Amino acid sequence: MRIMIKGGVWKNTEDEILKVAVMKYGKNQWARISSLLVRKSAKQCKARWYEWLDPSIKKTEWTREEDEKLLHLAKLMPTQWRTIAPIVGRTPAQCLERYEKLLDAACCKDESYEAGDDPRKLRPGEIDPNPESKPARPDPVDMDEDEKEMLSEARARLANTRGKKAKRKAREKQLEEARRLASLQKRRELKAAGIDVRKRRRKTRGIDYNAEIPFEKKPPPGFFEVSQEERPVQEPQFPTTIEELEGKRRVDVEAQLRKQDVARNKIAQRKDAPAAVMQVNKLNDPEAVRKRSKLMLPPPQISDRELEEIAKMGYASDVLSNDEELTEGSSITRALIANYNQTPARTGMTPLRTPQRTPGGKGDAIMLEAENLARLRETQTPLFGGENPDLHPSDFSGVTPKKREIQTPNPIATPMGTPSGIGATPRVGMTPRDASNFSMTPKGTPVRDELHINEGLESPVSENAKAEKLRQAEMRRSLRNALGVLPAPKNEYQIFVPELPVEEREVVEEMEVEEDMSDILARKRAEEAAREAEILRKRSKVLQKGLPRPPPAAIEIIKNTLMYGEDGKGALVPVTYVEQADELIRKEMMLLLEYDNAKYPAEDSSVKAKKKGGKASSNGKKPFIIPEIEDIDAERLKEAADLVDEEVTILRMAMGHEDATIDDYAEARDACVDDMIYFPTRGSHGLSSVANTGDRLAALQYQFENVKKHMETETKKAVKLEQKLKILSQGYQMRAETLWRQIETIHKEADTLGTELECFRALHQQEQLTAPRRIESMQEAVREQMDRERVLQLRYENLLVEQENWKRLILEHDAAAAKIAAEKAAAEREAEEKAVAEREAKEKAVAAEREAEEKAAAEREAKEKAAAVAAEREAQEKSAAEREEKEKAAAAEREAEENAAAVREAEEKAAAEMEGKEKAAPEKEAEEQAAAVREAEEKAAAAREAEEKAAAASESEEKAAAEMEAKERATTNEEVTTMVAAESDEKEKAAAEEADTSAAAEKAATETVAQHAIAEEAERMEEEHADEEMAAANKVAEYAIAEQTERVQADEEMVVEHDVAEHAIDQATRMPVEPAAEVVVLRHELMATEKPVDEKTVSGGLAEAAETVGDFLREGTGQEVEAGSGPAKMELVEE
Amino acid sequence: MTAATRRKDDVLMLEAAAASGGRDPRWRSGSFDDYSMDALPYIDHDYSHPQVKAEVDKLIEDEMKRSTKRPASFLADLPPLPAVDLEECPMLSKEFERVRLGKPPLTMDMSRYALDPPHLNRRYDVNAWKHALHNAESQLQHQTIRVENLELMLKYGANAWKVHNQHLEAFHSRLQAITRDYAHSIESINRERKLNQQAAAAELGRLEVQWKELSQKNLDIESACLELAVSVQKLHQEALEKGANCDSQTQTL
Repeated sequence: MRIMIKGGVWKNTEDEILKVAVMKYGKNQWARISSLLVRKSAKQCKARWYEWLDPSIKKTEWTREEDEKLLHLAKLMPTQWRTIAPIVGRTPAQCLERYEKLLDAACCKDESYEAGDDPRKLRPGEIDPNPESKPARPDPVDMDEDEKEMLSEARARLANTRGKKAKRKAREKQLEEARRLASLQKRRELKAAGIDVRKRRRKTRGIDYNAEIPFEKKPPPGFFEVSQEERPVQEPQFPTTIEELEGKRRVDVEAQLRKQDVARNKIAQRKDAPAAVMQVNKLNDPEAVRKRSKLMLPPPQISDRELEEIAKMGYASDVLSNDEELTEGSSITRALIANYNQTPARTGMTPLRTPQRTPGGKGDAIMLEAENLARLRETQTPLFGGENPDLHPSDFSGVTPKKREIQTPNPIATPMGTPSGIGATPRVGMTPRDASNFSMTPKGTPVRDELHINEGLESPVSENAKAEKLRQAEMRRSLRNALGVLPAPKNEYQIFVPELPVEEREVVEEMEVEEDMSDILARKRAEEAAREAEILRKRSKVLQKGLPRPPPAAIEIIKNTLMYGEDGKGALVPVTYVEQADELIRKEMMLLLEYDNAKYPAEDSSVKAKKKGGKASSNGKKPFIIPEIEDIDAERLKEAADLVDEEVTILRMAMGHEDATIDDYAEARDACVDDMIYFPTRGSHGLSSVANTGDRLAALQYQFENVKKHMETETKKAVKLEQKLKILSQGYQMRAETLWRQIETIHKEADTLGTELECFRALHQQEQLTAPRRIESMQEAVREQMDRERVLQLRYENLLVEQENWKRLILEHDAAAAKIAAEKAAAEREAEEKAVAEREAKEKAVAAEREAEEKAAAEREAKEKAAAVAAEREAQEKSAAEREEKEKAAAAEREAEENAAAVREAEEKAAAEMEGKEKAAPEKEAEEQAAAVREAEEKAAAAREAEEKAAAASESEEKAAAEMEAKERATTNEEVTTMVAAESDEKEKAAAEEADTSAAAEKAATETVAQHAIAEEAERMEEEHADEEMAAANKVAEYAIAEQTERVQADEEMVVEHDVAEHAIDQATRMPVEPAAEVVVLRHELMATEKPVDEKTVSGGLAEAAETVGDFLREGTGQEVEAGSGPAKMELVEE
Repeated sequence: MTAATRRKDDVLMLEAAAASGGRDPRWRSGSFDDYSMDALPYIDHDYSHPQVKAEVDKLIEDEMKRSTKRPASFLADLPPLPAVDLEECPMLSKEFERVRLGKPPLTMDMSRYALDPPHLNRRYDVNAWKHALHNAESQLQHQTIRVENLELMLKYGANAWKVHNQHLEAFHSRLQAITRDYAHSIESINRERKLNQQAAAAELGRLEVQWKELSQKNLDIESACLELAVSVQKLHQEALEKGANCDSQTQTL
């Protein structure tokens, strides 16, 4: 087994795989990642990632700062690269490498260092100990098989996003493909070699489901051509999917189109290969790709001009200094070339050089540090003692070295008079403003005499005090001039008074102060007012009263007109005193007018005057000269006023209008004014009253024209104004109009609504009264109806009672009538029946005689007689019992007399019949029958009673029906009984007539027995029937109370009928037993007579008897069934 | 109330108003206390029935035809207007006179608004000129005043209009509020009316049903009574025919 040690240089493929794997699996599953790389372990993968592939790793060159930091930190934390690395911002490996490199570089300077034996350099054959931090080796053009495999598997695994199965599938597919290709290749090679390898067909076991069609029934070949039959069955195509149903969706269509577009683009690209290559090249071109940011440099600290100067100076001094030897000979002339450097005192100049970009020593700082570190490293432990290695100074003030601003020094800005001569450390970026430079020189400001003109003066400056003084004065002056140029100081202060905390006492003080202030103000105002008044008083009356004054132009005219004396013509010299006085007054007036005009210009003109005044002053025009007037004191003024008043009164007295009012004066004045008119011809105003007509006309015309002109301008102005106004206010007007319209409509609406409201209110009021009233009336009506109902009900009740009474009356009457009729009819019928019975009896007797004679036997006679006797005796006993019963029945009958008339009728009939029977029949059997019948009737009556009791509330109709039924039943009973009676009568008669004949006797006996049996049976039946009837009646009554429906009744009847029929059948089946019992009894009796009885004969006779009885019974039951199945039930006898 | 149910002594509203002529009519005071106006419009739907409507309309028309209250005399009960003799007023009387004579109305004298010099033949009349001048001056004064007014308008007009519009707006909004109030109160009153009437309607309906039932019952009872009476009569007859003892029956009755 080959031992494979993982590791080695990283290849490009491996790097790529690692990157993708990290993308997929993250930075925690290194084992999984390493499983993708055949030759790398998990640890190595991790190292590779963290050392090289992590995109946050800087692979740029080390900057100075980084170097500084690195060295500094390395000194602080020796060999703690993992701590240092994040501070520097590199990986630890990078840090270490750089560090060593730097130290090597530092060592290079040492003489003892040989660059050749660098221990870190890999020698041929050596293996890189940490290949993780090295760049990847490019892939070879032809990769190894295993590498390829690794790549493809990694691709499969990394591309797989679905899971293990998909991965396995992909791998299997690849393997399959590989195998197929291999086999193909093999076969091809074999073929080429001439070896034919037949492809073996693999045996398939079982059924090939692809080949076989299940349940295929192949048509028999040959005979039956089926090809014609095969017809393509048109199967209906139903849309099964939504897409089929709805057609293609737009999204899908678009997607397809997009796909097509992409494909087309691809094709186009392929066709346009050179262009594509160009494009790719362009993209790959690093120059094109990399975008350089704009170079941002700090603004230059030395301007171009300064640079030039520096160059010049340097050049000059260089020339001078360099050519010292050259110019040595002419040292005298050399002095002529002034070295106008700014530090005249200095001979040995600091060479002016453009300072290094990096300040001195700075460039070496890193190297120095590195050297330090190298030395420190080389030293042994201090425990051995010895000297410390001498190190370059460095600062340890912080974790990282201090950052120093690098500034370009400006030699011009820097005064050159720096006394210190350390050129290595120039004063960086400082414009020394301290005056020490100057003050330090004891001589004050040095005098510039490079040419040594003032050589002698330099020391005896202090001696020459005068010159000094002069100089100082000069200096002072110049200083003053210079200071004069300075902007004038602004004496504007802004004082912020801090807000003092207000105290109560202060407030009080302030209050006082305020009061004082107001007083002061008031006083001041009063003073002002007084002063004003004083001034006003001193003014002329015109001003005082605010009268109109003539404008300045008018004053000139007035002057011209009035002061003719002063016109320069020197015309008239006032002669008289009056004239002189007049003259004086005029002068005074003019003076006053001018004064007033000048001092208090008229209001309207003042504005203009001001404007003009501004101009005038600028134009240098002569301002108004205010004429000086005499200042007259108040007393004299008052005196004057008094004088004037006196004069006025005197005048008024003299003119005789002392009682004229002010209105009169006004009128007079108006007349005067009206009279004044302007005469255009004369060009002056004058009195129209004294002018001639022509002048007046002209004046008027002139005035008219004037007015017209004015009018025109005014009209124009007005029109213009109107238009302007219209524009201004049109919008408002329109708005107002619309508003007004709205107001109108809404007002109308409000009006109607108010009316409506009033109406509704009135309606409401009225309705509140109406509704209860209506309800009341309605209630009244209802009450009326109720009363009426009561009355009507009463009436109805009365009528009902009356009707009832009438009905009863009529019924009673009818019953009475019917009884009488029935009695008559019964009597008649009986008579008839008797006749018929006799006839029949005769016939029967004849027949019986004949029979009896035939059958008769001598020996049987006695027996039969005995039997007859026994039967007779029995019958007698029975009849006695029956009689008793009859009596009882009679009592019951009496009780039932209250019942319906029909019952009575029936009873009466029965009584009649009984009577008839009693009369007619010698035998008691008839009576017995009749009694039975009667009993039956009684029972019926009793049942009816019960019925009535039960259905006390039932309708009279029912009663009537019951009665009717009872009647019918009675009639049927009667018929039955009559028939039976007739029969029995006949038989009895026959028996009576031929009592000696045993046959007759026997028959009679059997008949009686049968009769008895029948009676018994009937009784039993009737009992049961009566019970049932009761129940039925109860039920009927119930139903009658509940619903009174006939249907239920019918049902009940049906049930009852059914019961009856059943019972009848039952009876019929049970019947034969009892006659047999009777026969047994008979036989015993016969035996008791101790007469030999032939069993056979007896039995035969018995059989005969039984036959007859059965017949009879059959007849009877048939009758009974008939009676039972009738519409009404039969009430039967109860024991 | 339909015509059928109207009795002779029922008084229609208009007639009543006419009858009560001398007094202040009640419809004006708004009280309907002793009025027999029976209407609950929210529950009486008879009027919506076209036939009933036609009938009612016809009745109203008839009533209006018969009514003595013509539109002219509708306000007769109001106090008479104060008598104004228009003839007395001088201006009006002059105008009346003019109209009576059938003269055309006087045209206004516009001459004073013209700015003309006096007529040609009076060109040399000083007084005429004076008059013209006076007229012109007064016109000029008027014009000046007009211009002044316009200037004032220019200065204050916009604000005045604004204020005016504001007033109008305020007025409008107030009116709107009033209208809303009215509508609201009408709504509430009508709602109350409806509720009241519906409550009454329920009561009335119940009573009506009761009344109907009772009436029907009474009718039935009456007919039953009649039948019974007839049958009793028959029975009586029968009894008489049969000659039963009717005396006792009659005695019991």
